[in-house]
Amino acid sequence: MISTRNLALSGLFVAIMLILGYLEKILSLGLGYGIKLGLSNCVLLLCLYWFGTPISVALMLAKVFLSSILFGGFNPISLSLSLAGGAISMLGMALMVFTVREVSPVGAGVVGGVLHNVGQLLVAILVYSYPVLYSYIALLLVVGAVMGGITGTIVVRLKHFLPYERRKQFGFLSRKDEGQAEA
Amino acid sequence: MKRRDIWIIGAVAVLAGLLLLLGQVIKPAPPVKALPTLSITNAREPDSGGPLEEANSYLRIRQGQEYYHLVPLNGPGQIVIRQDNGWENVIYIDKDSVVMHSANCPNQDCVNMGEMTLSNIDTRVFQRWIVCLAHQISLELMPREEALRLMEDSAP
Repeated sequence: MISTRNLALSGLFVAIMLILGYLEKILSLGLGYGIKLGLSNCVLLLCLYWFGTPISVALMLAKVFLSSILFGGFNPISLSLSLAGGAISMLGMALMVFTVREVSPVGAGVVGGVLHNVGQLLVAILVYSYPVLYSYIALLLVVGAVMGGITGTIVVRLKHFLPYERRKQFGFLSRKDEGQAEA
Repeated sequence: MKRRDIWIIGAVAVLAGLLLLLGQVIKPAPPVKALPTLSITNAREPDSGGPLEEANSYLRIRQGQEYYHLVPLNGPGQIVIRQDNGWENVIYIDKDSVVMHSANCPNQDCVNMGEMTLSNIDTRVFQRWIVCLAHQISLELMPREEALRLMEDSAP
């Protein structure tokens, strides 16, 4: 059962993701070529550490559907690409955080960023017969990795906001925390 | 950063490098047989199966899984593709060049792909393609020889 506090936080996170996505769109941070910065991914990564996989998946779905309705004209093709990218990226990040471990948020962010682009490209090529352009795919992988690294770094900066027990679980405790635990 | 982070970044870099090499080695596959056409408004349509109008380059337009007739790029013109659900793409063509002038798709990626000419397809990121994924429209620029081959293959 989700606590009231987490429910409120979830709503806040979805709102932040939508705002970040909208800002990227209106400020034309897309860099052309269908490349997006994917800043909202850092919120999803933080959610994974904060709430675990099920709630994070729900937040990802909420973000994808709401931004499609609000800013994407509910275009079915764009929606299916966002869903594929979001799902495979979430899967990869969850594996890094909960199964592989020994990976910092930067590594998990890189995996998420790369897989987001891989998922979108797979659907575009296999379902919508998008041309297979190897140099473009290589570019998307590199951009996904760089942006994933940036979002991961943002999460590293934000990790002290996580609840104490989550920080303890993921080995994010600071010296101050340990001092308090000893006292 | 932990050691496994470095491995992940290294793996992505190696994969990207391999793809770049692959892109150099693998040339674009020959175009598949043309399918029956949809109609293009505001553009001259060559007769089906007839000789190709003289031009150095041709534009092959696909919507979904169907192809339009080849459009000879021998002078200025405008192609408007309107779909029943209100999706619209406006393409400007000129001698050996094509650009997606406007589209009412949400992301505008196709409009941002810029002009495509016979001389810049080797250096463009998207090579010989302009794609509007949201409307499932792709424009493929092809030189005359390739267009002729395509017509021969599709002739009954």
